[in-house]
Amino acid sequence: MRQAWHIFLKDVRRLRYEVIVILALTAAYAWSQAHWSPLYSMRNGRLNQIANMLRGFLLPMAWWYLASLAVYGEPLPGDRQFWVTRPYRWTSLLGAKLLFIVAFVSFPLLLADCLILILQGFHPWANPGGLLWHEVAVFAILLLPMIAVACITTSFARVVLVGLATIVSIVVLAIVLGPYAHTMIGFGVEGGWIWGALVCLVLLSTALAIMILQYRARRTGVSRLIFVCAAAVLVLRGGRILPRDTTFALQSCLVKSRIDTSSITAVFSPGSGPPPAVSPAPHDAVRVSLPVCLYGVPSGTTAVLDAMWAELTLPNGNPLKTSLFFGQDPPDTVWHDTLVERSVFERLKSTPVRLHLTIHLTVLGNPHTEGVPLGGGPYRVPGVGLCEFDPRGPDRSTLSCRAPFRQPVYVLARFDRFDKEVPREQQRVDYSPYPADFGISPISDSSWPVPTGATTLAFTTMKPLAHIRRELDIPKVQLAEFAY
Amino acid sequence: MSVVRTRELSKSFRHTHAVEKLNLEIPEGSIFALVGPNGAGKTTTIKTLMNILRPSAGTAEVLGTNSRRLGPAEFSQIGYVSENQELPLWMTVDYLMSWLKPFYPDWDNAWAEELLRQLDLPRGRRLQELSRGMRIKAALASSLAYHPKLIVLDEPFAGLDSLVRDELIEALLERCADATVMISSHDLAEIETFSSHIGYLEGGCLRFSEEMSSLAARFREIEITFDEPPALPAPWPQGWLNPTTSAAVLRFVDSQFNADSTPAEIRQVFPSARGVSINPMPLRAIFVSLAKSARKAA
Repeated sequence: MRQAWHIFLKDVRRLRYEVIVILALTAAYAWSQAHWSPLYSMRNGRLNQIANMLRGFLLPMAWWYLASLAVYGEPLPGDRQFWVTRPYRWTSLLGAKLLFIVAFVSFPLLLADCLILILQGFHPWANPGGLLWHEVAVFAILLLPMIAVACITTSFARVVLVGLATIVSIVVLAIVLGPYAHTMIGFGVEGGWIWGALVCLVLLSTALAIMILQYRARRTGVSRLIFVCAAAVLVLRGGRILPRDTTFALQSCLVKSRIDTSSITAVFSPGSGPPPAVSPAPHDAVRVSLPVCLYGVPSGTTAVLDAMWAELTLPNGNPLKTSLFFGQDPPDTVWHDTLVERSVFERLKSTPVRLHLTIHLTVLGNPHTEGVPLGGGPYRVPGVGLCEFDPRGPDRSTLSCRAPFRQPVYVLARFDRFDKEVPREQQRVDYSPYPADFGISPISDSSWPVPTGATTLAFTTMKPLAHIRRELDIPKVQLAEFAY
Repeated sequence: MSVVRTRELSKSFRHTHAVEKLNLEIPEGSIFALVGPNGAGKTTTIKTLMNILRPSAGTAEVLGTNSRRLGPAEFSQIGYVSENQELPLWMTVDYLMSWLKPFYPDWDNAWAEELLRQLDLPRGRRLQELSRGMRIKAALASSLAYHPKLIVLDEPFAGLDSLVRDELIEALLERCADATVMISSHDLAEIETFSSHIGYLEGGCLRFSEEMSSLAARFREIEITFDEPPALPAPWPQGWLNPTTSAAVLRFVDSQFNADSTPAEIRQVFPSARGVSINPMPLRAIFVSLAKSARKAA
């Protein structure tokens, strides 16, 4: 510990000017973020730009730069380093570098987050788990990989080159793998938090492996190989090792069911009429929409569709997995909405085929409704956050809400003069059990479109009670009957 | 007892064999000079001994510990200075010394002060502001201040002027009374003055390793005068290197000289010799002849 402290003090002395710049940037970030709100930023576009620039680029790059400089004080690759023949303990050296990052990145960020939360109208200690998780996640998922990259490079210019090469690889592979992307699951999709957790696990374990290997034995070649392998896994989006059905199966296993869902059944309902309005099919494809009704959903709960896919057995017995599109409307009917290649459709349209549908649902319950007057604010809405609406502002059609660390899982808003509940704009349903979303800012914001003339609204929040899977076998179906 | 011992030590870089099956022993208390032409593998050998590089095969022991397991306990007894070492250039000389002090339980403040004074180092100047010679001196001072048992110097005199070299050697000799010194250098003339043992490395192989006195005794320059230009006998005796003839004079280097038997052997091989002159050789001349001989053999 004494040696780690000695090295830490040396690094502080060496990087004192860089530390001052980082602290100033963190203070600027805290100030801009504390005064930021969706509505305020609309009125002040420059502040919005500064806040976004600080949060999204400048601050992370500055952290990366500082972390790299700290590591380069005792560089690991190469055979000319002064320190390698000095009596350093590797644990002390690694500990000193981590201490430096905690002292000048994590701790100032914690203070900045507390300040942001207070000035945004929240109490930092109201959700200590969220605050702690937020800081730990930034350290583990962002800072440790930055340190790991510095461990296998010799200059920040090379770090930037590695970053650029990774981005180019991602773009190239995304183009190459584009046609297969539908078999993979990504962020922003229900259940995507498991994929996100896997990505975090790969990042964290890779970073730890590289750091320990480098500081303990300076195996730069092996460490670089580990980095390339991990990057390849991440660039391939983990889809090969975690397909959708596995993701949802994992979600069902990990999140304990809090309700009896045995009564819920899915039934193929050919008489449900035409599907809700959908975008027209491309020229070389035909849209096929299969209606499925859900029965037995317990009262006081709602079943929402996470994902659904069909396996179609051709007359010759060969299976064909359909591409995935799905919709839900009205609440008890879900539609398996898929595009079938026109040539395939023409061949199959009048032949009865066998279909097997796999449906993943989340049952939401414990609804809580809160009424809010529109205009003025901000209003504190339990379970939602602080909401404000400025009827005289530049954007009169948007209600914005902000919450600490993460948004409630599922929120609907019902405005007067509008007979239908509306979800958040870009509603992102995330069933992760974590107390905070991953991000640099502790504030999570969301917005709703406000109908003209609306004066009040009621928020309804719901909590996920169970994730279930239903299988549905349709022995004979003629696709032509469901083509639109 | 050997402070450094290698067994079949090899180090390869892809398809290049930098060191091959090196068997080396450095006795305690000796000043061991590792010499050889450029690319002979001297620096690679030293870096492998210091656990900077991993051996491809074989083992090395330094201070009784496998080189792969050298850790803080061993490095607190080793002083290593290399010509191509990347020093923390942002540090001042004073800060370098005070920074390193807590790493070494045996750090001797008085001796450190004496070294700084003796080497005439500007204490308040950053290392990046110092000349190359001054930086080497700073590295040496920081490597001697804790009375290391083993001092390893990799080409410490390369590119230094003679005054700085003398200062370094003086500082080194003052310390080497109870330390073992391993030094690699091209500066054979300087090494000759203070080395007790010598090892000759060529093409990654150790050609010989022995005490300096026995080496000096083993090599002689032989000059034989004839009445007319001589013909070289076949086969040419093994150990007689680089024969050259000039008119009626034959010169070669005897690498196995023995004062009792060599004169008789010469007379036997060259019965028509009119005169034989046997001269001791400086270290530089010995290695030049060895290098020439190796080049011819290749």
